[in-house]
Amino acid sequence: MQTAHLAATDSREYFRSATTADAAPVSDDMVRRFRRTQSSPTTQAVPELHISVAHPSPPPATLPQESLVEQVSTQLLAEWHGQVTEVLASSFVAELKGRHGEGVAGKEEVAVIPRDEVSPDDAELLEPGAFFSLCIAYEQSSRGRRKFTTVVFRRLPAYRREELEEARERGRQIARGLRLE
Amino acid sequence: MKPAQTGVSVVLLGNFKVSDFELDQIRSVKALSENDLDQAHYDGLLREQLVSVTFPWGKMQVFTDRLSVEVGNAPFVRGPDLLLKMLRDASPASTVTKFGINLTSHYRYDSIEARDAFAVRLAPPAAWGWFGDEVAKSFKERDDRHGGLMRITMRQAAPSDRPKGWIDVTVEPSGLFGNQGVAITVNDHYEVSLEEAESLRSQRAISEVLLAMVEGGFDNSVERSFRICDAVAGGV
Repeated sequence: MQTAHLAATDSREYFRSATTADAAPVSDDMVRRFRRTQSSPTTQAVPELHISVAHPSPPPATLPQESLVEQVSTQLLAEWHGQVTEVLASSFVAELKGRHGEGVAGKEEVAVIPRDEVSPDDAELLEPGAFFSLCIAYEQSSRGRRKFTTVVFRRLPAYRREELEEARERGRQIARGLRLE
Repeated sequence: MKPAQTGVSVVLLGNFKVSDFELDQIRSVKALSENDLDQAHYDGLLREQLVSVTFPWGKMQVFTDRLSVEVGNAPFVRGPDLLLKMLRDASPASTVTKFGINLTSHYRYDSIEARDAFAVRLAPPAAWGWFGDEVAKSFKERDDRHGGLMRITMRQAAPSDRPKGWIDVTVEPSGLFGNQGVAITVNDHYEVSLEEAESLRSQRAISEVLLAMVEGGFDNSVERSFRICDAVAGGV
């Protein structure tokens, strides 16, 4: 029993913020703080606000604190899910299916998209068959409103349930066709 | 009426091996891009009990009985993609028993009077007897003397597209736009029925069915939630 107690204590020994190496004792309260009060078990509040830091370095002392942060809201206008069919030198061809937006949802089309739209981080994912999301949104800030496009390549699991089932079924079919000599 | 800001979260309940969700594991299965990982940081890390990681487009929290991801901006499908990749590639021992897909849209009304009119349509003070009369009188006041609807939830029980679950829609004030904001949250909750759980027999099989529902149903859930929010906000 003593061993079990010690193990439980040890696991609570460190509660650290990744930005510092400081360690602090952990209480049940600290764990509870991370749980939100919920009316139903799978409800969770989503981020209310996208806050961007306007001055990453300490601002001059004369600036009021409020100027440190800027409130930005983003309104999604349209979203497509796409699959790459061909990669060209400066662009790629994709089949798009509209997911969200007036005149967009449910419609299918083929598009040629400049490779510049793909972030350097996602460049390695750009290949025939790759899935991605294409969004057009308005961003509203104190500086005004701007329209922007986002292309994000999807990072999917190495296997999918349907693929496994298909593989199993294919295996069964092959097994049925086998003849022992 | 269109929302000024929308966010989505996916919450999975079940049994999760928390240590499988630390940044090293996220990096090893490439569930986030290198750029996202470079900017990611722990909000909390408690060995075997809690991992809370924030990255540029969202936040993932893992407890032994709960795994969630919040996405602040579209594309929202990055949320379930992250969870599915982590569960299948990094934590195959973890299992899911139920899940919810939550969407919150924030609406900005032209004035506090317009927001009051919206709230009165949802919950008329006249239906609350003499107390409602007192509340209605306070509509002329400002700031903390101004009363009204604080929170209301409507449930669609047992939607036909799942074995068991519900759709809860909650309306409450939004902190984003002073006294002119309304937040509408849809909790789209899914479980397997008792009969299905018995036929599936193992927790692993139940979990696979639920993950397939997340994977196959996320887009439709989000789109339906968008339409629900717009319908409630606009009254059509």
